[in-house]
Amino acid sequence: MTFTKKAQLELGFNWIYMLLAGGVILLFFVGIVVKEKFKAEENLGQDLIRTMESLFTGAQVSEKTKNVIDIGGLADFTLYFDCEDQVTTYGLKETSARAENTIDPIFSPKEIKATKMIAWSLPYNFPYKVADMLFVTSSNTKYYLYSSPATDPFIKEFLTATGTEFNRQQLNTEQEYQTIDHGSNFQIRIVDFTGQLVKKPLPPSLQKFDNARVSAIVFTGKNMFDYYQKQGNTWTKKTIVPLRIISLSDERDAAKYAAIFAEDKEMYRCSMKKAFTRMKYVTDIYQSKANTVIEHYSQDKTKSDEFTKSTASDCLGYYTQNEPNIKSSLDSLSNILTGCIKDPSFSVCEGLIDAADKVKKANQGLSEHGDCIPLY
Amino acid sequence: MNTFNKKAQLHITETIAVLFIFFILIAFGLIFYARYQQTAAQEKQEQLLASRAMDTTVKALFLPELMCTKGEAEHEDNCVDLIKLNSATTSSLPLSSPTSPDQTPQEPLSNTKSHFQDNSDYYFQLFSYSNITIIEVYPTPQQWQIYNKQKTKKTSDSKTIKDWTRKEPTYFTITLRDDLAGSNSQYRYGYLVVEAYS
Repeated sequence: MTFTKKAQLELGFNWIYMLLAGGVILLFFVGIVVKEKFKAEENLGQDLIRTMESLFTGAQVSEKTKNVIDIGGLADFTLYFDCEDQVTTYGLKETSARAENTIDPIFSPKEIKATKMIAWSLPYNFPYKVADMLFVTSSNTKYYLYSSPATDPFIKEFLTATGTEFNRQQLNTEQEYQTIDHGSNFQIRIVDFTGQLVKKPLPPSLQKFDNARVSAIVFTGKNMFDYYQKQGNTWTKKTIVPLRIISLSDERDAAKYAAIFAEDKEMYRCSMKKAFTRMKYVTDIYQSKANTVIEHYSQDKTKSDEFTKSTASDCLGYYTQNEPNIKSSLDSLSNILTGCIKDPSFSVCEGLIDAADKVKKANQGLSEHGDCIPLY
Repeated sequence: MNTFNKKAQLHITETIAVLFIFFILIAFGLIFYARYQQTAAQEKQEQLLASRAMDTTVKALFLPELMCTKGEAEHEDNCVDLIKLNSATTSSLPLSSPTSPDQTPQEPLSNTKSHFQDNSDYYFQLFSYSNITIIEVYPTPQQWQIYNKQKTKKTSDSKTIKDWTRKEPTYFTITLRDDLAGSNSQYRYGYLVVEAYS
């Protein structure tokens, strides 16, 4: 009887011991799995951030190319972009994966939740190359472009330039606008070249959609635009005064594309300011280059060879005497840039257009002459 | 009674032995895991440094401040405008032999005056801790230091010394366009050296 009791006790102890040891081992491995899972998610986020950093670098090399990045592994996460005080912050919401960029002008929606992210860059020539503007969007961000009755030439250019990688569609009539369906898209942007669509109520399908996910940009006049946001069944204007596109209106106008891809006025201005800050540094170099060339031609003017003397005299005209000339235009551009970078209202920056146009005209004169060293 | 006690003692010893082996195995597992993590982290750091060196090279090659432009047309690839380069860096050092320059890290670090160095707060975001030099090989061997920022620390006797352990150099062949050479631009041959520090 005593032996049976002891055996029972031993058997019970062994079971408890086995359960405890098994539990500890199980907990250990569960702990490792949980830690690894958390680490894998963090790594995925960090990898995406690194990929984006490389993408921003790569965009400067293979400009005008589109990169479609598979982010299917992060489909449950929301990628966010923000720009404040010339610092773009991007990362994965609710994770520690985030990065800052103070150099590249990045234009994107505030949030992206998709399986594919699309990145595209265009050089910002104003008049010389200043920076590469980076446009980031997603496969489920849809752009509807409207300019009826006649198609705006920019729409044709936009459709060709963006290609099939982008989720975009041209609207031919106002009736077509009323049939817009958000489908499986995460967000919708209407690009209106007439200003008529925002006066009408929103299409029935979009009325039920999240307010923050439906926005519009309306181009008024050649280089002006306004941002609108959905507010129930109607549109609310987000800009008090129309914004000006600061560019020389060339083909593939990076600043115009930037306006379409930027979430709102704040992001547009913030990233444009980044471009102008870079422009100030690039302009410093061009001012220095202009002085070197002026010195070179001033020495050539003193030479005995008639051809050299006359060429130097002609070229110096473009650099210092003609109207417009390189030196004064660059000085003016530099001064306005200094004011523009500090100006919170952006009104000073509009003055850059005339100054940049003067530099462009003076440089065209130098190029047409044939024997002069152009500025750029 | 004595037999029972011995049996119980045997059981306790057995349990202790099992527990000992169990914890030894756990400890082995943890040591192996920690070592693996350490090696993986080191490899990752090396990869990141190599990637940063390449990124910095690319950024340096396509700097609007230095690139050869052709009016409204596409710029010339892997080409540096010599007038812009001389405007950006005040000194062009004659080179005895066309090799990559090496800093003496134990001495206080001095830098050549340049546009990028003067505005290093801005360009640090672009180049981080690195040393960027352009070396002309032909016809006149010479070099321009564009940017140099090394991680440093102060010693107890207020000396500035290096605070990096790894250096990843990358080299890229370039041309240097000299528009002041005559009626036609003259192209020189050289290379770009980027040393990334970590």
